[in-house]
Amino acid sequence: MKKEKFILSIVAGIVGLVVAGGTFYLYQAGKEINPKEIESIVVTTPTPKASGTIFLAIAKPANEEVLTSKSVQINGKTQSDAKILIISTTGQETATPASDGSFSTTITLDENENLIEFIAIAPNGEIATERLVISITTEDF
Amino acid sequence: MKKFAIVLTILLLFSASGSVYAQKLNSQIDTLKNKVASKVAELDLVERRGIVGIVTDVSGSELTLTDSSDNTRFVDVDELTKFSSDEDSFGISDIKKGDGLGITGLYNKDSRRILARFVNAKTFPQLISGVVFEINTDDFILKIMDEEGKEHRISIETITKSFSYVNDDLERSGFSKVKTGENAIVLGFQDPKNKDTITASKFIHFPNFPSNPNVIIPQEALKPQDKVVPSTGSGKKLTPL
Repeated sequence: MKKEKFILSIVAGIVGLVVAGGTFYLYQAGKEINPKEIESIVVTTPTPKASGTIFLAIAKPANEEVLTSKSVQINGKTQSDAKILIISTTGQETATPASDGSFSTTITLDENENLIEFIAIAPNGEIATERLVISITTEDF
Repeated sequence: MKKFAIVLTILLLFSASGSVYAQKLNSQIDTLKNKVASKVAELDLVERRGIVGIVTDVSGSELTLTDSSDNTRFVDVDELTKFSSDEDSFGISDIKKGDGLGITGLYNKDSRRILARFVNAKTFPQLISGVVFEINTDDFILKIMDEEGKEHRISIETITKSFSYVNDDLERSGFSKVKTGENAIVLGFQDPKNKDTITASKFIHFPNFPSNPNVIIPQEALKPQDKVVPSTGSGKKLTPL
């Protein structure tokens, strides 16, 4: 009888633990988040600013991008008959768009943060501008 | 003994059902964990970014800046942040309201804060785009009207690099070649002595383009560029050498 009591108490202990665990899991599973409390994050991509009829959009690099090479390729789009000026503290470049309005050029930047100004001027004198911050660092972080 | 067997059977059955439920719950938790992990990776919550801006507030290890697009940015600094400036020693205690900074660090897309890894004291130029409507040849001052109807007083100095956009290229130019009605681009800094004047570091004008139609210049703002030479009365005009 003693043996039976002993086995029974051990089994009861195990069952007790399982019941407690099950109750805990049930409690955790029962926690529901109110849908109103869920904050949705919307990742928006910048859209080109319209200035009159002329537009200017820089596809590459992205604003605030951190690059490792000082030589940076620029890709963008504007109206096909516009002229492009790229001004930074290190220099100034001109570019002419292709028939589809796309343009590409390579500029050289300084170490650390660079402010680059993009200017598109249409034959009627309208001007569109875009500004990018591009950082150059070879440091790993 | 019979009683014991019944109790044991009941307990074992209960235990087995609890174990199955726990396993199911574990499986659900693992699935949820994987989903969260893949979502975090998908969103790529942290990325390297560089910004420039003007300090609007310094509080402990937190900086508040207005960036180049007039957005408010929050920057945290820690013991790994490196500071640099033209000064020998520069740290967060040297940063004050109105300072220009370049920040490179880790941007958290969720909190929208940047953990600065490099803080560089820098003053960045402002860009002005508009139409030249007044030229003061005595003081080498130009007035430019932008598309928002704001007037800008531009000082052309000896340090100013002047260009004209001709034949799809930039040619060296000078103050004397600028005419009213021309489109102009100025990259410059606010004159610390005269807050309403921008000292141009780069000046580009476009002699072969018509005036930007989006810039409206009030008629009273238009002043003749050339001085009127008084008549001598003999029909001849005195022209300056």
